[in-house]
Amino acid sequence: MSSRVFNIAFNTFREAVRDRVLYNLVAFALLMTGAAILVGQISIDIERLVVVNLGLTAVSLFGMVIAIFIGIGLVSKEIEKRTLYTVLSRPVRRWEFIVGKFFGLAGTLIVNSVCMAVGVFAALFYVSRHFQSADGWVLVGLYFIILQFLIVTSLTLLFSSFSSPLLSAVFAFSLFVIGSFSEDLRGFASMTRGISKWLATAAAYLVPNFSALNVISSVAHQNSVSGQLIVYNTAYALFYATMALSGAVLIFERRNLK
Amino acid sequence: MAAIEIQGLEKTYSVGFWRKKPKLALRPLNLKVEDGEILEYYGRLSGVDSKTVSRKASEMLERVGLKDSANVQLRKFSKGMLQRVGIAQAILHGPRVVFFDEPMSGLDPMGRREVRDLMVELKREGKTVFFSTHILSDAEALCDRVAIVHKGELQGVGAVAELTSSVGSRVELIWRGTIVPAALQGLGAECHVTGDTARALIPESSQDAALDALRRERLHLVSVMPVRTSLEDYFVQKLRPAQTMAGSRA
Repeated sequence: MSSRVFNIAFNTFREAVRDRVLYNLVAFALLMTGAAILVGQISIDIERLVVVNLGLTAVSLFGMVIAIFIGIGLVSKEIEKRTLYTVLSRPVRRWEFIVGKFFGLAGTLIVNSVCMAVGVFAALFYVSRHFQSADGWVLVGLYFIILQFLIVTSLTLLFSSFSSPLLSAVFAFSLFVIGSFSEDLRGFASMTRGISKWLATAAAYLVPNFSALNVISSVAHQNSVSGQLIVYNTAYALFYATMALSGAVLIFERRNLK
Repeated sequence: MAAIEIQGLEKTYSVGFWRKKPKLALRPLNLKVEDGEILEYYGRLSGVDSKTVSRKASEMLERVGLKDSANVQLRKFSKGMLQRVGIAQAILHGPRVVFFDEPMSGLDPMGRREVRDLMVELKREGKTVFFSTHILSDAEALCDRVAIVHKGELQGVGAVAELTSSVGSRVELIWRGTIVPAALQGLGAECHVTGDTARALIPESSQDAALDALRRERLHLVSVMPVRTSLEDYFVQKLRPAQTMAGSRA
């Protein structure tokens, strides 16, 4: 089982790399180089803050775009072109295919993020001329971004298992935006009453809580991140991604591929 | 029963599959052939262990004549080469049953010949090869058993000889001149005049009556030849009543 999942995952990663997905790193490198030079000239004492904010936000946005736009085609393209038959005529279970695709895209995003992190630290070193112990929290910020990618990738796979690529992209992007404001949604739920309170609370808990996973501003200000939050966020992201992936598998298992 | 066998994990291991439109069926097209990437991928998915998959991939490339191909991505391959890669991936894991969907579709004469030879080799090795085709002569040349499917309905199944024997035998008569005796039309003959030679295809049972008609007209007979009944004849005979009925309804 695991070898088939690994093979599909590795192939998904290889396909993404050969389709020049990682070329976004060039754009990111240019952005970070430009930002580092510019920030050094116009900012006084907040160079580090600007570089970390800009760098991690760029990592998040670039990754989200890749997760959504690659993710929507992972299953739907294979169904549309019927390339799936060549794979599913092997002793490959449908769930292995979905899980393999998930890990393949997640791996691509992780490699992409790690390369970008190197760029962020290079820019940080350029503007500060030295590293501080608080810079380690940037890695935690990056880790949380990767957790967000896992959730978005699983949601994109879920949507693409039953809808068109365009709708999948719209659904996934909408959930990303709503999830980024989930704390506000919870605040709104606490202020309302009756059925709207019930609906707002349900929505607040159903959408992925991306705001809890966003510590970019905090780590840019050199604030520490509690170990408890790291554990909670890890458990939450893994649980959410597993649920979404299970949904994708359940739908895909029942889908008529004729 | 076949569906259950295919779905079952253990049984699936012994099945190979290849469909037409190779540019769509092989993904990712940016895998390379020369170093066995594409074959190793499908081989591993089929349960071939990583120690032997490279060797098998190399053997398969040699078998389908792609060993000396350049180290290029699949997307740069011709249709015939892709077809061969597709077949190689279908048989790499040594399946006992192989399914090919129009394996010779769109190939040039050499490509068709190569694929046909490969299928004959598989048959000799004792493998069961199922393939679909619109070219009935291919089915006739390669198959032990044939199933004729039209608009999703099975029209007939059996050995080629069984099927064709059900079609009435015919005889070809050729004579000099351009005169076609009227009596031949009544015998159900298909007559054609080419230059100064006339030709008629008649049911074998009407052969004597047709020869009498030619003698009466004092026509110079050139040849009398039995016509081999092909699978195409069977197909046409099977479908003609349905089409005639459809035509009369229209």
